[in-house]
Amino acid sequence: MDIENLSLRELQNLEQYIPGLGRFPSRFAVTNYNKFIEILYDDIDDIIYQIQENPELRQNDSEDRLTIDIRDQLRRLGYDASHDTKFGGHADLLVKKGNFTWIGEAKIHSSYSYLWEGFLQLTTRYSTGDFNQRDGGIFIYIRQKNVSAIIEKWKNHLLSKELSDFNSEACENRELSFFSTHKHEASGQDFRIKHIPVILYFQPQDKSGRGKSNKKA
Amino acid sequence: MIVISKQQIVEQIHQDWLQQPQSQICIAIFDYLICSNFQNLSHITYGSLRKVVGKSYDNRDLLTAVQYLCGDRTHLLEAKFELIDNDNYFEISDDEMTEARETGQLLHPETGKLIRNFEDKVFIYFQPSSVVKNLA
Amino acid sequence: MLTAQILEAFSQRISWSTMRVILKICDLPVRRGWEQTIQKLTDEESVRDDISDKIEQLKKCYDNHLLVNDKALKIYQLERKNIDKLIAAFKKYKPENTAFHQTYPFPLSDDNLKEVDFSQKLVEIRDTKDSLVAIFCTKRLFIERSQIDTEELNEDTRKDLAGYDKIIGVKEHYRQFFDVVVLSKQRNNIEVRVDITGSLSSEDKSKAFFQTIQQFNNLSENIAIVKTPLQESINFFPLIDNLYESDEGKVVELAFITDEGSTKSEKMRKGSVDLRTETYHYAGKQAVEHITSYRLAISWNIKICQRINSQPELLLPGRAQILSNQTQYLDEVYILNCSSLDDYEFVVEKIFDYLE
Repeated sequence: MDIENLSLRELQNLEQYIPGLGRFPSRFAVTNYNKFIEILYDDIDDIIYQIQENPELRQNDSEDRLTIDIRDQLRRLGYDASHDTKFGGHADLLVKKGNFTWIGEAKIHSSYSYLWEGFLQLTTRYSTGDFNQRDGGIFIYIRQKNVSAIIEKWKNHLLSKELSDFNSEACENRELSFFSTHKHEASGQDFRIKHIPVILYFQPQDKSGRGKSNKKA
Repeated sequence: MIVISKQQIVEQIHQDWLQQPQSQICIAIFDYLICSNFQNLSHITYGSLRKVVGKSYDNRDLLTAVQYLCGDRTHLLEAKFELIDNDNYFEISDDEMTEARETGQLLHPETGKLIRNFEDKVFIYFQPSSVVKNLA
Repeated sequence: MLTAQILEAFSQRISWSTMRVILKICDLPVRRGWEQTIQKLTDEESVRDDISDKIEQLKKCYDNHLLVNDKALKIYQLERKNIDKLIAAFKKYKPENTAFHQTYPFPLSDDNLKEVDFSQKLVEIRDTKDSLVAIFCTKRLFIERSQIDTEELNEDTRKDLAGYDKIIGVKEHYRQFFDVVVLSKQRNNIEVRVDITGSLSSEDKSKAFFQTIQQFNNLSENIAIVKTPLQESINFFPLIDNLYESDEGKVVELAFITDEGSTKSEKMRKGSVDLRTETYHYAGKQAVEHITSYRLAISWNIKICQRINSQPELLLPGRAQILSNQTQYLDEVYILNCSSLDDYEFVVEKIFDYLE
């Protein structure tokens, strides 16, 4: 294919071969915060799907390692993404575009109280409640099976915390993800968090896999 | 504005792309931008960037490298929209583009008419970013 | 409503970018494109009391724009006494009533225009501070080519045409043109300005000049006893090199030949640098003893007030064969994208400055 000029349509058509390229024009031309978040979440979803394609390679990765991979993929799309460990050494992700900011927390799921810790860490970083810092996300790296049951339980765990003006809603693009909103104590603003499971369950059913997994146990 | 040196930019590109072909592609484009009379560079097409990097890289790598250089991370290229209509070129602002995508119709800057199916007629071109212009 | 009428008339004649400048000068709101702007202004007109002054100003802009946008220009020199004689005679002359007067200064509707013949009619004599202007209207056949959006066709037709990459429609329709003759009270010349809005063909433009010159000459003889005032138009050719070598404006187009047998045609996109300083052009010019130019387009960025700029353009539309004549003669220029009389005057001043 010769590319002297590429129309928007041609870029969109290339999306199936080069994920994220169809969104390229929207990404650089974005002028409002909500649109910035919408495109960022689409890009994050693509990255998550890619990671989920090879769970076998991720079995020994730490939270840092997984988050750094996401950060690197975002950077390659052109995002000003950074991995900031100054808050007690846990992993988190910061994405900026001009005044727009998005922060992500990452936790390898072990217990719901551990996830709750991540949730709290995320909310405390938004003490300014700035107009262009209304959204954040939690990556939940799940190596166990039955992710939808885990997510459902997590949702209920959040509900039980009785946060001020708490609300949850489904994600239109991905069944397993969901959004929670609650009133941020310090700023009094609504803070919306996307809960993003990353499925890293790996239990191969074929002979070679079974042999390996038996050895592990 | 954070002041950044040429060396830092090159290091950052290598850090982000490691041994991938996009590393070399980005460096080649960067070299082109800083060695040219960049004050005059106002309309760089994909075809032109293809010439800059040469034939040994495939389109996929070139396109993802260009996308990267237009982003906030290593902002060396400013991407802009233009309408190409019968070999005439009309610049389209980002705001108009946003409006066009929301309404499904693009305002032709010369005729003042609203056009549908504009995605076939709107193209992206590039200019050196302010980061590049402030470097030299 | 008056604004709708004014804007509809404008929409047949000027680019949207020029219209935006005019609306801003009049401090009137601008929306996305003609339709939405007409709607907005019509709504405003019916509710706001304070808008009538601005609409008056818009109407004045329209009246003025008939004299200046877009025009092919020939200039004729004449003794002062004869010009004054013509001015005195034309001042007293009342143009006959014509079909165009039904809606003048706005153009006739398509249906009414069909009924009119092709002869050129004098419709107005306008006496201004600087000149006396005679305005003529003519109906001309206009051929419009545009790409057909296949989405707008029915399914069967779309299927039949599926093998084609592009479908171009050719529409023949009539349009009304406004040609102008200007008798200057300051300079010793007469301008013949032919209406070339909408890219009139070269052939039609020549016919328009012929018609206008002949009409004016006849009228001059009949009402002022001045015989054939329009004889030989001035030669604009020296402007090409004079302007190119100056610091004026921004050169956006140049066509030239080199003595090594090459013909070059260079154009700059809107918003780009001056062709004179473009790296490729500059280096090429330095490499040869000289280039011989035959076509030049130059534009100026005029700041009207804060955030309002206009960009009138002067085009010297020569052809390469001019260079092979013993004397290089270019008898017409185009003045384009004027948002006001001032823009036009600005360009004409430059013509006289650089012809000296």
